[in-house]
Amino acid sequence: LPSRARTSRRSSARRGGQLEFAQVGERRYLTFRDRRLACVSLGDALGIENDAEASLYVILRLGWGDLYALAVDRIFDHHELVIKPLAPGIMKSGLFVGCTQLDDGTPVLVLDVAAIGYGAGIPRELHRPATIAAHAAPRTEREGLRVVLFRALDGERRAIAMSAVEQVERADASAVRRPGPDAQIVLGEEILPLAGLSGAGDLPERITILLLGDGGERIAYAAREVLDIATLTGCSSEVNGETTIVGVTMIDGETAELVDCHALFAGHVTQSAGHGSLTCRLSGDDAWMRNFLGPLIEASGYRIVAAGPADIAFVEGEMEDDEECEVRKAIRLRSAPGSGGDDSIYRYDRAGLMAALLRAGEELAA
Amino acid sequence: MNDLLLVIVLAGRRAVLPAIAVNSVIELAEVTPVPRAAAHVAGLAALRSRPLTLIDCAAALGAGRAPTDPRTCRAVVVEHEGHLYGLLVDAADDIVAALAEPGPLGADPGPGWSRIATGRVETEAGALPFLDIAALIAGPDESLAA
Repeated sequence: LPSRARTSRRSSARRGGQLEFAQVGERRYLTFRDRRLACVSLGDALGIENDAEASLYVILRLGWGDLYALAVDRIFDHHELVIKPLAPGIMKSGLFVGCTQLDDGTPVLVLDVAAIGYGAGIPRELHRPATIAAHAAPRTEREGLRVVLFRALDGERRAIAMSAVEQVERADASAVRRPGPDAQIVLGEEILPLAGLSGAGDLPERITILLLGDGGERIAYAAREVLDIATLTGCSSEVNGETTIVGVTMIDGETAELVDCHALFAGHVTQSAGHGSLTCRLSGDDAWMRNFLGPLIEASGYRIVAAGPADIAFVEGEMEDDEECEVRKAIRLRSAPGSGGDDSIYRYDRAGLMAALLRAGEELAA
Repeated sequence: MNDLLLVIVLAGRRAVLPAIAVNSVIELAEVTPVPRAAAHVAGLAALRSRPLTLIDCAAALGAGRAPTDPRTCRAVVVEHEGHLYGLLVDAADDIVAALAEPGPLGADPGPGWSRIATGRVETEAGALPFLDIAALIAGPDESLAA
């Protein structure tokens, strides 16, 4: 019976021959990279006859990080999928997410691997497959860093701390703006700084995007593909000259560069100078303030408010006293160049404006 | 009255479907089995890059009938609630005109038939049961539960 699992969920496939198993009651566990993964028979889940001595396992992911081993008879091929909806009579079983077609038109059911895993009795609250205590002794580092292993655009194998990765998405290369150090990517309605482009050359048509977050800021990291999830056990050795790589480490006998999340966020977050929480009010010549000055202030990380109390206000000419008391810091503008004889700034003195904004932000933060 | 009806043969008996609802009548080559589906879902095929869910009408008629072999029968292609279905029947050859509106079924037409037929219609080929496409697709399980 041909049916398929979506590759994005698939971690890797393993032959049974050289694998180690544990038997807990009727449940078989496959030992995979020092973790016990519950085995689920696809044939049993689908209620069809299958080879009881299955020797081919597909390691599948249930959400982030939960792995299990699905026993299958054979793997045919990899494919890019277009998933089409199925009739309710077929969807009712909950085992399928839809169907796709092979090149010759044969329909192929697309399995819902999460439903199959949960349906076979894997508890939903299980978030991390337990590491095996028996194997802990020879390892120097018991709590390794969990990383997402991926192939970068320049072809390097890289690893990044899994806790930093919020989401993995696919995007068209056309969503990338200004490829280069200040690159950005448009994801839905969000524009995010994009890292990982250096040394990439021409972008492939479709790229994989790792969405990184530090709890507040978000950065996109471009990659060719996500390879696996691994636990870093070895030490990493430093590399010189590469500012966003913290070191090189060995994962499964191959080198992988560990991405320096700190440097990545430090580099990109200063670009957008985040006073995000500070507000700014524009008064005076409304249209000019809103249209000319507004975007500059917003890009500096301020939120523009139309009226009422604000952290900073831009004022043209003299400000009314009752307005002044609702503002923590006022920046006065004048429309004529040259010395105004007071602390006001000429409206097109860009450097002066930016300096005043920066100063105000620092004073308010202090 | 000149509504056109497709005459099919189902479980050895003739019946009609409204021709206006019928997309085409095809023969099937390859059928992909669908595990854990209702008994009357005979599998999955594709028609011009759309999934075609096959309904074994004999099984929809009632339990205990031998499953239809999709490769020896005809599939009447209909669209129902956005999905394409192939209704597997023994034969589907004639189109006839209705001579009157479908009326009540009358005397019990036998197990299963009263569920999948909405009425009896006089046609050029005689009086025949007028089948309900939604009831065929829903199958016997749903109506037992209802």
